Amino acid sequence: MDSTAVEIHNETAGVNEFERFFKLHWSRVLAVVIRVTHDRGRAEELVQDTMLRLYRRWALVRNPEAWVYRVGLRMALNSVRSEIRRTNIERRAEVKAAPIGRDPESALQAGEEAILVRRALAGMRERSAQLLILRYSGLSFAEVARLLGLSPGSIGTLLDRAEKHFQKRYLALSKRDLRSTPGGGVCI
Amino acid sequence: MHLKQGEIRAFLENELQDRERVLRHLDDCPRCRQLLQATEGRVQFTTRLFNTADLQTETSAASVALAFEEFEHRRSQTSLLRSIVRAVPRWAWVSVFLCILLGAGLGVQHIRKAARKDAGPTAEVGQPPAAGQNHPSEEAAGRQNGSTGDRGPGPGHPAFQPSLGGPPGRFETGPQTAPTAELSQLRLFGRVVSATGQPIPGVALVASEAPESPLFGPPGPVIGTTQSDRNGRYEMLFEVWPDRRIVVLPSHPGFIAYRHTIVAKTGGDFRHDHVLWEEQSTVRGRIMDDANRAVDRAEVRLLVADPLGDRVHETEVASAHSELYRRVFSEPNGAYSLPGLPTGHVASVFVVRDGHLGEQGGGTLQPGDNIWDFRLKRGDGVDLIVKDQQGRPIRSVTATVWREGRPLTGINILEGDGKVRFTLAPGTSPFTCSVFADGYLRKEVQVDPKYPPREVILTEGLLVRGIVVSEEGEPIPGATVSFVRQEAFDQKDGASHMTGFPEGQTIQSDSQGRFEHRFSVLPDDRFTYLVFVSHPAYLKVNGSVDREEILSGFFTLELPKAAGGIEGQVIDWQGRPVGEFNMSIAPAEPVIPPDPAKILELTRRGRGFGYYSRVLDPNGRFSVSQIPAGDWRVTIFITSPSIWSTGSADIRITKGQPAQNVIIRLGRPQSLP
Repeated sequence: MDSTAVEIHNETAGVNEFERFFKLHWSRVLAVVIRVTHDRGRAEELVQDTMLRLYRRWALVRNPEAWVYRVGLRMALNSVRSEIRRTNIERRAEVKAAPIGRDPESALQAGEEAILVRRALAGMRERSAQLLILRYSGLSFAEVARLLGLSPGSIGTLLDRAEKHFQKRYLALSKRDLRSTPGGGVCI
Repeated sequence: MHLKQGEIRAFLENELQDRERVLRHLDDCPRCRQLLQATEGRVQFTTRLFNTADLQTETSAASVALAFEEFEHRRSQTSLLRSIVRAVPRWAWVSVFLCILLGAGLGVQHIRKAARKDAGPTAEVGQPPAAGQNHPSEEAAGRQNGSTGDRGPGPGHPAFQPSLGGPPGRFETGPQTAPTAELSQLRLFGRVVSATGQPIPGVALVASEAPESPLFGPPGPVIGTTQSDRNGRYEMLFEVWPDRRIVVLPSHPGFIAYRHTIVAKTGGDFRHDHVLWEEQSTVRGRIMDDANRAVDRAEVRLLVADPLGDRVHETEVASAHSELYRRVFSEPNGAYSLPGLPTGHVASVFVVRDGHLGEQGGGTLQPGDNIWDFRLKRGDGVDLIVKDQQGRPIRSVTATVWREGRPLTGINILEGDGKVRFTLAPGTSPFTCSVFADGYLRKEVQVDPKYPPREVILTEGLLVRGIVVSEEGEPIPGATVSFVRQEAFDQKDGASHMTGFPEGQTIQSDSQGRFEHRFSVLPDDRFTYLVFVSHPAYLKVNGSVDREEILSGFFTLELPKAAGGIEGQVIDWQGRPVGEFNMSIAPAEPVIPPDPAKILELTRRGRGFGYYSRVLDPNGRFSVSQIPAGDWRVTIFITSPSIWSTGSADIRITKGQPAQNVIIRLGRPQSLP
């Protein structure tokens, strides 16, 4: 077999390997990213971009699974941060429709809470935010540790710390929202 | 020794191996039990918030395959170089943009107005022109079209000079400012899928102008149609300006679709997926009055909330939102029926009937029939006749009511045929009513139900008239002129707010190239309009007109004729073809053309700040048609995270002789600071 044939063979094998990886992880990565963006279309775009980046670095990335989760989450969090900068989240809350099976009032409340959650996450340290999102997406401590490159024994402590930080930020944001809403709470 | 915080957290999540040890310790240690309770509360708090939104995270095998197909498509379209360009920090793009602006000498207004500042007293706002005082150019245009011309600026309007053969300076060039927005191309694309994520081929998508009424009005004229392909993909192209609203309605037998409104910000790619729903519900019921009699011809409006409200999204290119509404009238026995609604979605119903107070209700749509009955109470009627200054009734009137700055509910308002009818509950306190109609100024009136005003007279808005001509002064019929409000300030309170006119107003020049339009603005408001003028045979132009120009009452928009085109290729410093970089074409120095704002940007992905957008092909080749004759400079900028490079070529485009095989060579790359 000449060298060209070997190269072609390797390339094809790489493509097949990547396709397998893509099909295996697409749904899970997407589900995690949706939890950050709350927008399936946007999440699909972000995961596509992440996969494209991974494809270009396929030969260089040692742990593609961890890489794709981390980069996907980072891009999703960046996307939310940009959104906040454009102050569109608040506007979206006004036009956001009610999720299935909820009455409009509780749907509106849920929408506002979801926005605060995303804002709180966007303001946290990246690793803490990733930790929370992965854990609350249903991944076990061991899986979270593997994807984020952490020791399984440290996950409990880090998660607890991240939750404290999250709670603090969330409550601060919701208080600020109350203050800024006319007639919507006690002015402090 | 106490438990570690991490141990407690792991214990709560069943992630700890030796749970027995922790349990034993918790039995003996009140401090750790307290810590456990606090941690548990925090976990519950976070869990509840993370599960607030009903996110549809499930993905079918078919949609994974579809996603991979899309990935393959992207991979084939996207080169490594593109990824480098995309990775360029924003500040680098900004600096490149500034370079373009500085280097190209951007900044000439494209709209040549006929209003001369030394042409007599200021025109009276909205005053109709006096007969027999037509503008010379209009008269010329009229003669060319076999008409004597029956309109022209009145005596108070600035004199107009024909552009053909006139001495320099007849057209005053506006301030040397760059246009702030432009006509550009929006590529709307995405997929049409079912609720389970399966692609639906053959779905007809119809794009229309947005209706004036955002919800219950019929859509405007159709501006495009397409069908989804076998993978459910669709693509549509539109020419847009900022805030242009386009309504897209998919339709397919057996499915229910939401209507989507796309609001453009700039040109570029905007992905928007459509979900079609299969399960159908019906809302039906009867409308009775408080004396238990059937209410005939009651209007029933139903609005359904999109459960994928999270898909209401916004990018730098455009934003989108969706809505689904129905409207029917009750029959003589008070019955109404609204079939074909998506099951499981939340619907709101509003019932209005002349002489009755409005009622509303709603809930989640159950499979099959949903019986929603309404009982309307009778109310007192108050009529307002809306007339113009000549005493003629104004049709298409809209009214809103409020009290102490808050919108009022419970007042039934019916508009139409120059009349606004309120139905009020007995004992309703006085309230404020705002009445407005397109082309007229908004008016607020106090309505005391005991002593209601009989009529409201609206003042006509500002009349703007003009003509679209070629560089040679020939009138151009059929040109599209769009005015888009840039800002509107009320001088009274200094606040920026709506003054009651539609978002964008598009008119066409008539057979003599003339157009006229009445703006619903106050003469003493401060405002600026962006103006876009286009015609298939001419170069599109854009610019802005300010208050002075609009108050001048008449102005001329000049369209340069497209003369030739340019074709060529971009190569790097080593002679290799490159693609997908920013490219601009600007007039070459030292030739200063009469209208140096002829900047033409070609940017990656169809976005740009010039007149046209193009995408270089993977071999770096480009092609632009419809460029006016003149000397031009084609400039290429390339930048990566660490280096930048530029190249340019001077070309001359003459009528009928396009510049072909223009090779632009990039210089050796320089390091970025």
